[in-house]
Amino acid sequence: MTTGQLLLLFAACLLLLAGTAYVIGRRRAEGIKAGGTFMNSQPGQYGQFAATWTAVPAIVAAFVGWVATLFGAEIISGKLIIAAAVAAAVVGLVWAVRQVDPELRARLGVERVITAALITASMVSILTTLGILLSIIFESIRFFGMVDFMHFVTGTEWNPDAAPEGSEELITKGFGSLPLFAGTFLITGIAMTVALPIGLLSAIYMSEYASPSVRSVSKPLLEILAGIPTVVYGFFAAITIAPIIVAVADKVGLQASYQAALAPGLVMGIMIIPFISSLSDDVINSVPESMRDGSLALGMTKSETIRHILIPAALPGIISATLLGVSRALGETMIVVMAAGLRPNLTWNPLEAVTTVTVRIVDALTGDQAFGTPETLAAFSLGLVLFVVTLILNIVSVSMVRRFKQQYA
Amino acid sequence: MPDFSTGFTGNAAARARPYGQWLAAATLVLLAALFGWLLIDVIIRGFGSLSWEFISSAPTDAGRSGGIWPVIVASLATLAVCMAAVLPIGLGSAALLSGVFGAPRSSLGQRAVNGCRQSLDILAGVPSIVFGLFGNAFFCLYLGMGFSILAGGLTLACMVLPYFIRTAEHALRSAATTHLAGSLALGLRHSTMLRRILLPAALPGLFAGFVLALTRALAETAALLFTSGYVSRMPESLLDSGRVLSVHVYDLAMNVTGGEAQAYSTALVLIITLAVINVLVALLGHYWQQKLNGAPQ
Repeated sequence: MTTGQLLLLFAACLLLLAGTAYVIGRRRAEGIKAGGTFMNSQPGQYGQFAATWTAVPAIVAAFVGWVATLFGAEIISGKLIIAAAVAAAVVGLVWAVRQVDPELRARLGVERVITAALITASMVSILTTLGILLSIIFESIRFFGMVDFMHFVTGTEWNPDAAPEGSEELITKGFGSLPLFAGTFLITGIAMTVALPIGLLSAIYMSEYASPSVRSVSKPLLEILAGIPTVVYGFFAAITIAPIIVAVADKVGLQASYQAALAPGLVMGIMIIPFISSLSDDVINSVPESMRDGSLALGMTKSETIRHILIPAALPGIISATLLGVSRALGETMIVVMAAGLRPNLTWNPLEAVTTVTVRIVDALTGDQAFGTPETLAAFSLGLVLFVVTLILNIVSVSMVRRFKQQYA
Repeated sequence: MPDFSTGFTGNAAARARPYGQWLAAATLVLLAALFGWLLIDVIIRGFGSLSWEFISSAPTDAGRSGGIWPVIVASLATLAVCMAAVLPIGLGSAALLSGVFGAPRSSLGQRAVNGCRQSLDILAGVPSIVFGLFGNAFFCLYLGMGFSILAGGLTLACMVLPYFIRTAEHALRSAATTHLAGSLALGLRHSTMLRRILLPAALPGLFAGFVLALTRALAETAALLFTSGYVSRMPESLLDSGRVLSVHVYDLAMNVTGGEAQAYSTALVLIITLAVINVLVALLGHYWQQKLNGAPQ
């Protein structure tokens, strides 16, 4: 039987047993109630109690069995797990039905189980976070068992193909990550040069100058634009923008690559504009009206009020929006994978091709490399650095916004 | 005669000229032009090979000709897996975090609430490619799912879970502030109140969270490249590799020479789908709002 059929069989058994438990539990409770005894809970709640105690042991048993198979206990077949789960359900059913009694606080029992289920659900987020951290740390440790750490941090040549394969010693060439980070920062820098002024000015226009009707259209529109798939931006950068850059550079007498850092940088900037704009708009809007009124009353013009009062007051929020934008740009993948180069290049010239951290991660894992080679493991180390850097940027940004909100609350 | 205008430059008339407003308005126009260019580019180049034939047939010649039907099926299957995981986990977490089910009485519950909140803050900022790395290591290799729709859908679920929980928590909380005390005073059980009072009141917000998670998942590429894979055949089960729309765009544009036209059309299908979802949701939200406003208090 396939896994899907097994799951279906399990669900059917579970539903049948839980339904039976509900009916029996309810009948029993109704029988007692008909005898004139005062009951702690409603008959239906006794039914729910019995159904819960039938379903939960079965699910726990199935889960334990599944985890056991993961850890290599291959004797346990799918049918065996289902049989064990059904047995657990029957035991739970018999026990719960016998528990039905006027004194039993069935209602409380059911609510406790529900609370437990909610706590389990919220554990998933915690486990996912831990899982992400542990999986990339674990693979990074394996990587640094093969490749020299100092070389990874300070080396200037990234070329895994040139690294000696299968040698016993630590690899000390071919995994220098500096050019990847330089490329990432170059493209991020270009993106922020585009996104910050346009995003900020459009936020100022929307919050200070625009009529309510313009605002009511442009705000949701910006949110929809923020949802354009990044693969479309990447496509636009590679196929439309890059040839234009080459043509323009050629006119001016410069040499530009078709994978010049400028193309993904500019397009990434466009992608981040809605993000910066909507965050800055929120911040500027939460500057108290009294500060605007005071400034205007003192005879400042509107643009002077914006320059001398609003922007200084909103500065922590604007910086926080910028940091979030930078964190977005650092982790952005599809635009650079499609429009930036593959060859690591340590340069500040935006017309040359550079590669980035995310490009090399994708390249390492979509190639036909076996998992566990230094090249695939390198992707996890790069991912770890990316994770840590974006996390720090996000934490700083969130704490800045919090302080700003407290100041004007 | 002392100069009182220190700090201000130029005369009053010059100061009153709305340069600032012109500059800011020009930026908005520039912004509109940039996005207009992007969208019109995709529409013009993608419209050519868009047809019913394109939607309903299988790709041939590595995608240079034929259509995208298996890709659409794989996308729907991936989204279904993703939302099937997000809905129960997300609703449960949101119910616990918003406190509509009563504050957790045990210290374990309290710790789960705090831990969940912190984890969500972290998860929301993790780049999608890192989710891809995690999905590749955990779902594909460790749990042995291989490159499959199941692994891709679950990876997406991890990624969009914070968006859903945040919106859902907000919806439940704001519904609770208006209804919680009243329904408890009437002696309703927490579970009844949740089902009969809160859920209907919070439904528009929950729906918005669902759609946000759905559109994010639909737009994602990086997290799927090495979790659900590239195979463009019709997937036969959830354990088959399946290529979603955005990966199809990527593959045609990058790895298939002469695939640009089809890539543009697929991108157009993706954008139209997202736009239709957004417009429908906006209309539905409007309708819901009117219904709520018009209903007797």
